[in-house]
Amino acid sequence: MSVRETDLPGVGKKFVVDLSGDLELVIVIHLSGKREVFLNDDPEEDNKKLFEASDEVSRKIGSILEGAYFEPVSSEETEAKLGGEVFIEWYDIEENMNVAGREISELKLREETGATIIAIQRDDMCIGSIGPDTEIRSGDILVVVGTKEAQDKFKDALN
Amino acid sequence: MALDSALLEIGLMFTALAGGGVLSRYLKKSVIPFYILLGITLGPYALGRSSFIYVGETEITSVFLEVGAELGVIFLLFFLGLEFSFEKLLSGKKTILKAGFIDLFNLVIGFAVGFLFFGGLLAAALIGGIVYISSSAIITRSLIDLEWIANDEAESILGILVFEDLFIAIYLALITAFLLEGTGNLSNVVYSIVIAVAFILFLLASVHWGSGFFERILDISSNEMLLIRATGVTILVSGLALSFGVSAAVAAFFIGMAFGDTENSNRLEEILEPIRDLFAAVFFFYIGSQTDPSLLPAVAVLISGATLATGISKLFTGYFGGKIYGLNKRRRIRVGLSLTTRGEFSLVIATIAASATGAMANSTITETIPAFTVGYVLVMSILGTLLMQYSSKIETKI
Repeated sequence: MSVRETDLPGVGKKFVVDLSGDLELVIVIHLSGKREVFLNDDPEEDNKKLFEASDEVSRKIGSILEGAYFEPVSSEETEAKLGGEVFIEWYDIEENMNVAGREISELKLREETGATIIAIQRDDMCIGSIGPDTEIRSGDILVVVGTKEAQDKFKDALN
Repeated sequence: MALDSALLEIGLMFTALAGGGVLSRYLKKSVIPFYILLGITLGPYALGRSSFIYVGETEITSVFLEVGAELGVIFLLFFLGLEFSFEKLLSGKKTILKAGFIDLFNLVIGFAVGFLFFGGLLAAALIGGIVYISSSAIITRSLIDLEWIANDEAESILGILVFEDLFIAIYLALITAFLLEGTGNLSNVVYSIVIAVAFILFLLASVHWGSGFFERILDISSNEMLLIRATGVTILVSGLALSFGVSAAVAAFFIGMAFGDTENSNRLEEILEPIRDLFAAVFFFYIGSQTDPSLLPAVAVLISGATLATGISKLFTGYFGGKIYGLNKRRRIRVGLSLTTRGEFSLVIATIAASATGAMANSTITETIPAFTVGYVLVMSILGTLLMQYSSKIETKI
């Protein structure tokens, strides 16, 4: 998947998202915050405007698409790529894992795997400031940043 | 004090402008020509010739209009600077530069037309600038209204406009030096150009090294304070520039550029947009009100000639500019059609000509050229939007 970003001086920014085949989604974000979404199915033809939405509505649509309210895919299979080869992954902690119920400092996960826990999602809470004495509990979802290799090691270290 | 009649006149002006806005929306045209026409109608040369009240009758109203119009120019150029960035100009395989250079052909055509008609170099240079610069305001609005904004041609059009913006900032600096210089002596003109260039270099240096300072000025959560601070700096520096004989508009452009590099630039744009729109409306009204319609027949030939020559030349330079961007034939035609629209910046040049005080100022510079510009912009702003609206028919014919 590729996303191209271009400046529209005086208007805002344009993002072109490659969908399947010749299909492209063109999103124009105005400086006012308004979004316009176009679909392009033929490069020779004009982009067809699908809809426009205010800043607020767009954010809502965005989080629905992101899966904030309903996520049919298990979090184990989701990964987000940052720049270069760095990924963010989500790990579900189950009761039988050896990390459950232990503190971060005794696990030495970063030293051994190279991956870093950046947040823990626990029930409705999101724990953002992870310290050495933070305890990992069963039912947590760990948000971890690291290279592919570090993520693989991290996954092994959990069990 | 005739404050009561001043308020009546200003109220009449804004109410009429609001009515013009309604009409322009109904007719799906740019609002700028309506503002200008209202200025002509309600100003001293039309309504003023009747016994009825007119806008600018009271001394304080005409001073208000003049200052308001100058603020309109300052904010228009400030916004150009805010949205301008050298990175945009120099990025993307230098396509903007190449297309921009082709676009400069219009300046040559305008210069030739002006020289043929007036026979003077300064008048020719003014006509050159007036017909060269396309209207960012009208074109950008139309791109959004016609839903072209997501298309490839929009990038090329906006790119060429960015080049024009920088060019016009330099052009205004130089032409102001000529127009405001008192003696007409060549060495004095060179001296005032040196001052203008030095002032611009000083502003550029402050943009470059003063980013921390600009960042700090704007780093405030209160919108009210942000508005007041930005307005204060912009008008103060513009006034300082003008007192040195340097174009206030150009100073505003560079201040805009400095603010554009800060983190708060988008917020600033949002807050200042209504202020710009308000004073820009006053500016268009003012320039209309300064136009004596009885001067228009005398420049009708020049207006028709310039419309024909520079309409066609913009079509061609736009077409070949679009080719540099790798657009297909249809989209190239659209670039050409869009860029034929002229507007606010042609009028900015005309106001500077009208206010010329230097030794080279004569009635050609201060009256005929501004009247020509008003007529030319009325034609080209309407023609340009029409060409864009009917582009699909034109594309299939060519």
